[in-house]
Amino acid sequence: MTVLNRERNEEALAAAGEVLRSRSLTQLAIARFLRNRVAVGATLIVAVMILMATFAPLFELMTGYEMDFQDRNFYSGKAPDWDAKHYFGTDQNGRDIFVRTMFGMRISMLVALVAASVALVIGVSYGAISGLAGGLTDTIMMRILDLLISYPLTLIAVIALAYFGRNIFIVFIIIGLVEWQIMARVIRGQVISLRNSDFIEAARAAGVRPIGILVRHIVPNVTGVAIVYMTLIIPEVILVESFLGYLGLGVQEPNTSLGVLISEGANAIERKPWMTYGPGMFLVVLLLALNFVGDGLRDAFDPKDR
Amino acid sequence: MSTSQTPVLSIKDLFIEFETPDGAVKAVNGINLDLFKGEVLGIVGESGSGKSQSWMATLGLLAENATTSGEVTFDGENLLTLPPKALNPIRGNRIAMVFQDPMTSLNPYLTIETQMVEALRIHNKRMSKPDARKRCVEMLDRVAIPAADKRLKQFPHELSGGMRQRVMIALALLNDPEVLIADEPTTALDVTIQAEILDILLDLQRERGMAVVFITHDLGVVAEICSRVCVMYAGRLAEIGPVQDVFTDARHPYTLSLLKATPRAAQSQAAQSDDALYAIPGAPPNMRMPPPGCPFEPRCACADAHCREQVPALEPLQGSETRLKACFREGSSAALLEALVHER
Amino acid sequence: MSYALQRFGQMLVIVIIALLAVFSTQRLAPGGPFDGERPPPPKILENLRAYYDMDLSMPAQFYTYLFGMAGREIGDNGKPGKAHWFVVPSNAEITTLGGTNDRSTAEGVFVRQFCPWDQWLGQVIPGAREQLREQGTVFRKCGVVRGDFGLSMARRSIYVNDYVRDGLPATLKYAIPSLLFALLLGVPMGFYAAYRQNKPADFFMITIGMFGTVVPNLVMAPLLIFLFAVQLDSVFHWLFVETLEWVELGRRQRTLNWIPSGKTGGVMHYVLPTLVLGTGLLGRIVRLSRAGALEALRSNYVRTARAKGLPAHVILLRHVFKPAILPVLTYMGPVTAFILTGSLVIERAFSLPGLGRQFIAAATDRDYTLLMGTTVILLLAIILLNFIVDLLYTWLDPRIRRGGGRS
Repeated sequence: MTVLNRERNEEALAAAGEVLRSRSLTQLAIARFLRNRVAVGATLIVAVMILMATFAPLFELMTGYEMDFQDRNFYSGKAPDWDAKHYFGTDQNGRDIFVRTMFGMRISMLVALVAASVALVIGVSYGAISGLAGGLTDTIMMRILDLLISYPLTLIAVIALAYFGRNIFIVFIIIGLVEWQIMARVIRGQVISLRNSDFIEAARAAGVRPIGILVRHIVPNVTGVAIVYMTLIIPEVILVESFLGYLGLGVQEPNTSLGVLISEGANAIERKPWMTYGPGMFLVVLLLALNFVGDGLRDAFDPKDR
Repeated sequence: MSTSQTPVLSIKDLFIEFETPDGAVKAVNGINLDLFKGEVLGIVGESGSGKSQSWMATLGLLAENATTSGEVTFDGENLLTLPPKALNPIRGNRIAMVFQDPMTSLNPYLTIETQMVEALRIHNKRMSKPDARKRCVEMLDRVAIPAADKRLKQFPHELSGGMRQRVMIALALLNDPEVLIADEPTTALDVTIQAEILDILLDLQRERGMAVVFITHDLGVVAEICSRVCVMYAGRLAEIGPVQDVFTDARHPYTLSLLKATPRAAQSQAAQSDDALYAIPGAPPNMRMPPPGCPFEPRCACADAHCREQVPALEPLQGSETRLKACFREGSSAALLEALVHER
Repeated sequence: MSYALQRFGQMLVIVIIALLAVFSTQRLAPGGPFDGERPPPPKILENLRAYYDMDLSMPAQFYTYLFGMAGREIGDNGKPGKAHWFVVPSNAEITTLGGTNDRSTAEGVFVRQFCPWDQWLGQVIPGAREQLREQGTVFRKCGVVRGDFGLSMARRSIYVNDYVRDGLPATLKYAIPSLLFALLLGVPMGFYAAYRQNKPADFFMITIGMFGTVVPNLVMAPLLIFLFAVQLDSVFHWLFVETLEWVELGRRQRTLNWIPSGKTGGVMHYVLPTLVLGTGLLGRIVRLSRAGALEALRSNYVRTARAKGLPAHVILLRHVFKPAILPVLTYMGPVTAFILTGSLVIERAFSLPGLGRQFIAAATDRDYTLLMGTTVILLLAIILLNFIVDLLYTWLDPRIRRGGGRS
């Protein structure tokens, strides 16, 4: 009989995990995702919108209107006019709404990135700690989570933003603080099922230290789930940002976001409805597409749900 | 067992297909079978052989993604094409079914009483509630449930698995059906309870003279209670015949392998090959792409090129009215067994 | 019984924690309720702070907030014709300070309670209470524990209780109808979609579900205002008034205004808010009840029910309804959260004087007392709904009913 040594065992386990992960799960999931036409279409739309937001300044060059530029000829809100290159019209100050929508989308994307990352970090740590600790700690942490889910943290965000100023990064972080609970719950479930799985058992039996198990086995296996649920958090985060922007608590001038633009449009809806159309359409399409991408990814990675 | 009678229920050319995202699954591929009055017909096969699905189809209980073709004739009507409205007076009333998993087959949100009384009253519109209740208590007594009166008021989660299966049987027999389809009714239960349930089932069958279809993968149970047995493989019938004949002189290689693969304490030394338990090599075919020839061919020790190209039809054995098999290979059980042993 | 007691204790803890959180956020955040664009003179600021107990230590402030407030009579004391309503705890002392209202320099009578561990500021007038009582002043007990949220800090003549008394009905007037709308329409829709899975009807319901979930309130509200209050109104005007001359309208009345979107009371003003909130809820409830019904329809016990020969409507109503409604019930917690956050948007969009608007105003104006008051009311609403849901849950699920408590 061969003498088991720890390094060799760890190697073998890692290799086994690697093979399982890369072959069966990820590739299958990608294949399943690609077969889902709606999700693939939505992914393309999101990609195009990300490009549009990233290169928002290009639209300034294209139309000749800067974000804050007040068009004297068009002063005080005119309906969309393609000849004048005001594709979505102008607002009360004669600023081009199309260009402002692009810049607003930029902020929304930035929020999606930063706030969702904040949510990711908090959710993953909370869920992992709860799942790894087990016992009473786990029970208490989950009880708190149960309570938090029924209470509108968004309202606390409103208070916090009203009190601590509206610096753009404060906004991002506070939004991240609102949207982490589902992530925490999912990660906890994943960690617990991993903890009880055979290959972790085997690693433990082979004498791998807890840190080694965490880094080598749990972290890589949780990453996929975390990414899938991050795509589901992103539309929520964008929604919260536009909600705060609508209430005048989000980003401040000269920056703008889709929510702020819709809010400005809503104030003038009776006479200048076009001010809401552009940003509203972009927000809805973005949310819709992101939802389809998230659902598609979740179904691809977790087909039992269907 | 009277085989010359006209059948109560007959299945003709039954095909079942399931539409899945990864392609169509051909679960049942052309079954022809008659069920006679008063007989206990055992349906044997491994999981996925289509044995449950073909009988679910007779009661219109298949999942949404299933398509069927063929005929299931009962009392002059084709059950497969009947609309639900016309099917409802038959199912639960003249043909009843007992399912495999008693833990989940009763509605956890309703009392036993509600679930039993509704089954009675939907088919006997004029029956009063107290009458229905009385009938339920009688039926529960009949399946040996103690304190039946009290049990009626309880919810399924308050009963043990064996109790629930008795309730299921009582439920199925409430309306005195002509045909009872029992889909692995004892698989989920302890062995001792299994025996009790089988006894109750057999008693009731004799008492009422109904036809029972007993779906199982347990050959021991079939030998004990069935009069006729039908072996299924990959959505096709492999062999049909009286239990005694089939078990002592199997003519299909699959039947023989199954028998050899079954551990039996009372088995003769000769049949029990010298060393370990026999296992059939290979795995059942992928039902998305079934092989063109005999479905058992890839695992069969006696197969040849002919088997690979053509599906053998189910044909009567020479000199026998009651036995049929679907195999090109002629010869006795002993000859087949030799081939099997030789192959190993 | 012990379960109910446990629930009650839990609620109490939640309310106190929430109050503490909001309270400490308020006191720790930079700035305060009295520094607007033109801060009041130092003397008046000092008086105002004393008036609202803000000169006490933080624990003492919280104590007085919970168990008894300072008196609340501002300026103009003793002027004839004005009724004075003093709110004085039983162990209160009465002092006079300089004018506390920045518009008034008149002397005011100032009443406040001893806090057990804090130093008392200001001077005490012996016999002032008796004097006030002789003048016909009514004393009453106060503090949050006695259901009194004190005086607003931004508008210093209005009680928070009065604010809430006006705001709560305004919010409920569209929140409850929209919840009913969503439940009564969404659950049958979800069930029907599940029953006809993969048929056109199902696809239609899924689309509605997706639409309601994804289109945010803040887009829906302006859209509906534009559609109903602006576009349809002018279409109707054109059709009935100008073209067909069916309706006799005065010259000055340009539109029919058949679904008004502006403020002022009347039932019709709550139609659009109900629709906006209702479609959002409807989308979520359709999706949930469809998923619940699908799971139930695929279950073994529904197969048993079909094998019994039960017709479809009996199966849906008797066998599928309960298990399928449970996920919808579980979702009622997030639903309340959705309604509350939605109320902020809707009340702004339709200029309704509801709790949501007061909440925002309180937060942006740093109206500490109003914010605490609205927070408590919102919390109580959530807790109450969760409690009702729990009761319904135990009633619907026999496994909980007899097993004693959910695990």
